[in-house]
Amino acid sequence: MIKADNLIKTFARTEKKNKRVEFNAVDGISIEAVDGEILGVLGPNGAGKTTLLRMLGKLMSPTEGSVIITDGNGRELTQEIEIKQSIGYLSGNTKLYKRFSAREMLLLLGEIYGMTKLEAGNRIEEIVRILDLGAFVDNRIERLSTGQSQRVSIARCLLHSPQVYIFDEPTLGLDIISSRAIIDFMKQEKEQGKTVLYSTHYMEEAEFLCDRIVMIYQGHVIAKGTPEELREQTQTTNLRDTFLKLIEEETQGGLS
Amino acid sequence: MRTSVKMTKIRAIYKKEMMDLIRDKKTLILMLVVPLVIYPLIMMGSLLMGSAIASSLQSDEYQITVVDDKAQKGVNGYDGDALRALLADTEDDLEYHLIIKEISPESCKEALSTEEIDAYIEVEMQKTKDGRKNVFTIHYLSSKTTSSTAANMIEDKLEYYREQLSRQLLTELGLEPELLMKPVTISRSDSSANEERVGSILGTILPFLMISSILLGAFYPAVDTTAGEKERGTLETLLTLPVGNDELIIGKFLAVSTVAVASAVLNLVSMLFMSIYFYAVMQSDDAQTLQVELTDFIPALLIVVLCTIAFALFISAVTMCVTTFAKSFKEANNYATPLMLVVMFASFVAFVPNIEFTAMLAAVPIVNISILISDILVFEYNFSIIMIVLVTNMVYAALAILLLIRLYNSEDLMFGEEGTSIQIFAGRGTLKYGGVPTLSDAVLVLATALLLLLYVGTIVQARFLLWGLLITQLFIIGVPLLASWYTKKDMKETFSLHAPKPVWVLGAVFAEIGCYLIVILLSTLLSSLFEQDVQAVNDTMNYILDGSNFAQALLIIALAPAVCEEALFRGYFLAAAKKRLRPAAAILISGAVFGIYHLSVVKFFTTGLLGILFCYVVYRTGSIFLTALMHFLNNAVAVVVMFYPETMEQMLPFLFGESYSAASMGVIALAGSVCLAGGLWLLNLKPLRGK
Repeated sequence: MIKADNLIKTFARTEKKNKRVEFNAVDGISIEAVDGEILGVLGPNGAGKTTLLRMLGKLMSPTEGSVIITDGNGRELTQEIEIKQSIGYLSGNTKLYKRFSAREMLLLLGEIYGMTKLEAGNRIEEIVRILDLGAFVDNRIERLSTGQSQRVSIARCLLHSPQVYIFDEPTLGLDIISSRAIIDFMKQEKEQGKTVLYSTHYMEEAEFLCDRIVMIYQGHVIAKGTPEELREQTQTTNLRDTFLKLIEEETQGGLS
Repeated sequence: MRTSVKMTKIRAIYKKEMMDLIRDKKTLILMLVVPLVIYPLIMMGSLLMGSAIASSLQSDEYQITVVDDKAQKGVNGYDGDALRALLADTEDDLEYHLIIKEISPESCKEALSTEEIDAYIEVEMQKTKDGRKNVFTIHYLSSKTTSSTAANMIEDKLEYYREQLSRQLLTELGLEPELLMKPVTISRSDSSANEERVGSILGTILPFLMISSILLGAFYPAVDTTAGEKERGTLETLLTLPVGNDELIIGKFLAVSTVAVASAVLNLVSMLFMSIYFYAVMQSDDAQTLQVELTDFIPALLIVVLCTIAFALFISAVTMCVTTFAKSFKEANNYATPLMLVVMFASFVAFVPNIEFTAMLAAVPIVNISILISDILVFEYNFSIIMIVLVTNMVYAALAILLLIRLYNSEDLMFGEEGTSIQIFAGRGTLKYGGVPTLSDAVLVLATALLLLLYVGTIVQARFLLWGLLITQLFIIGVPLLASWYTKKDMKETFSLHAPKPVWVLGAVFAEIGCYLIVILLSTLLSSLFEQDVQAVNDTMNYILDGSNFAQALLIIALAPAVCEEALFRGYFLAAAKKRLRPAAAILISGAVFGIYHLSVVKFFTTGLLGILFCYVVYRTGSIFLTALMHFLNNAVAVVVMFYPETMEQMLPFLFGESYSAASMGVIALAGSVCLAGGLWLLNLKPLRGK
């Protein structure tokens, strides 16, 4: 389970005329994703999704508010190291060490996660089977295709068997086959009682994958609920229209 | 909260970094290339060149002519044939020969200019009051190496000939030549051991080469593990891992220092082989036998190894601190360039002859290691100083690592996406017109101007006195002008070139008078505390002003700083500072920097105060013309006092008081404060008419 309570992140930005302007990229967001659930975090570019996910993944510390993460048994994790140990975090900015082969990199990372060589080796064999990496696991990462390296990235998140997955646009720029593999993987993990937080711009994907959706705009939550609830609320037939309508309402609301 | 740093995590990070580094061939190449390729090349080159020069000079034969038809045979025992025989003598073990060519006296000059002969001796008889004497003149061409060498050879032989003649004459007179010619014997004995002599040859060049090479060895891995990680996009991956910043940094630091230490050790080994080679060459050359036992170098070498390792740790940490600010290799290179310059410059200190290695110097980073290496090679080591060098290097490294851990905590640095803040090193084409300089640029410009002032300024001032001061002022304005032109800044904003309101001019004059009075009081108080300092400043001023007139002094001491120093301190630097900092901080820091620039304790306070006032005026009014006027007035008064002390003393006696009574101090303070307050009030007045 992962739960965020009233998260605020303030950044300073230098604008014209040399003024330092402070603004809240995330402005009081509370969300919760329980075990065995896929929570979709949707929103246009610049809505604050990446900042939110970074704070949830403990890469950034919030200006205000708190994040609570529990392990599979409902025990709250308090130490930062322990928390990172139970999160698998993936975004467009988490690139791989391309001078290594996937196997070498996973072995080295396994050591950092505190696994013995034997444990890491066995776990890698298992992951290679799950994600079907056998064909390229010993090739240098710099020689892999986009889809292949994204699968290695998934392998990296899977390595230490975390309870919570945070995936920031995991299927961005992938072909249907590769994104299919990643979507299947997320479903599998959910079925095993893991928590999956997931952001995307592909609405169709979100619609059939997510149990619940949180819609974010300008650092705020503007709507939340199951895809059906959101469609009903906005009286639309698909999530794409739902999304557009919600943003439209918000923009007009802001104007009036 | 975590309490302990885990060794297993550090080891895991270290392993990952090391493997990552070794996978990249550039690390290895940079580590190996200097010790294994460059050194031998330099050494071989210098050996070959040395022997080539020596052999070309020594094995030659020189053609010479003796013209002695104007000489008188028999005068003082002169005999032309005997002289010729001596000159052409090949019996001595010299490696050169003089060959006598008989040419008619008239064509000698031409033969010399066409290089048919290398030199000729003209012997003429002269009458002196003591009788007659033969005078020898050696004709040669100083522009030709062979000709001047031949002249030197001839001179040596003639000296010998003169000595022979003296002996002969003395013997004829029945005297003892040995006693008369050498009543005392003078000889020189070089007390440096042979080890010291070899050491001093190595000691001048070795520190510089080694420090540069370690820096080069540390540089690439430092960039790779910090900026490289950002550039390749793996930094965020790294931050998802369950390791603390401290473990992360220590692991990375250990990897970088491993490469740096390896590079240092390789350097030393390469040096050692070169020394052995030199030793062998020198041993085989019986002309300069050195009684050096190679084993005598071993304790010195061990100390060098220890200190070098400590230094490698230090330089790794510092380089990492610098490169962490960069987001890419290119940017890291830009940031590291000034670092490299500083390090290389500091390592040059070992070239300064007879520098005394004090405990204080032993605490100065880079300089200490440079002097230590050069001292150790001449067998001057003092263990307490070596301990200082070792410990300070360790402490500096530790401090740098602590700083680095803090830097890695800064989210701005990790996730920030703003462009490079040092624009001076960016390509000019990538910059946009307008705006004011960044603070980093301003600091760099200031540092450059100050370095120029320190190193070039002091030299030109010593050489050209007053005009040297003018050259220094041109540096002061030249650097910021060049920098703002290159970074395409808005000149009007950067240098605050706004026209002042008339009432502000009045205010500026009043504020300046008030401040001047307060500064007089302040400097009187401080002078009693720092007498020597004041004396030194006055001496320098008198020395520089020596032989100049009032107009020149007014131009160079009052007008030039009013333009140039204002442009740097109240223009470029203040513009950058007030953009980035709070107004009060910008004004105080700019003022303090102006104080430091004057390089004197008393002047730090007095000019610092002036600097703060000037900064305030520019901040308030946006017009540098006001402070240029104030600065000019301030310095002009000093010039007038220097040139017309009597008149000034009559008009303004309080300027000359050695000490003041409490009452007069009170009056001056009051008058100063009133003027200053009045001036500031006028400066704060709203413009009389709207914009």
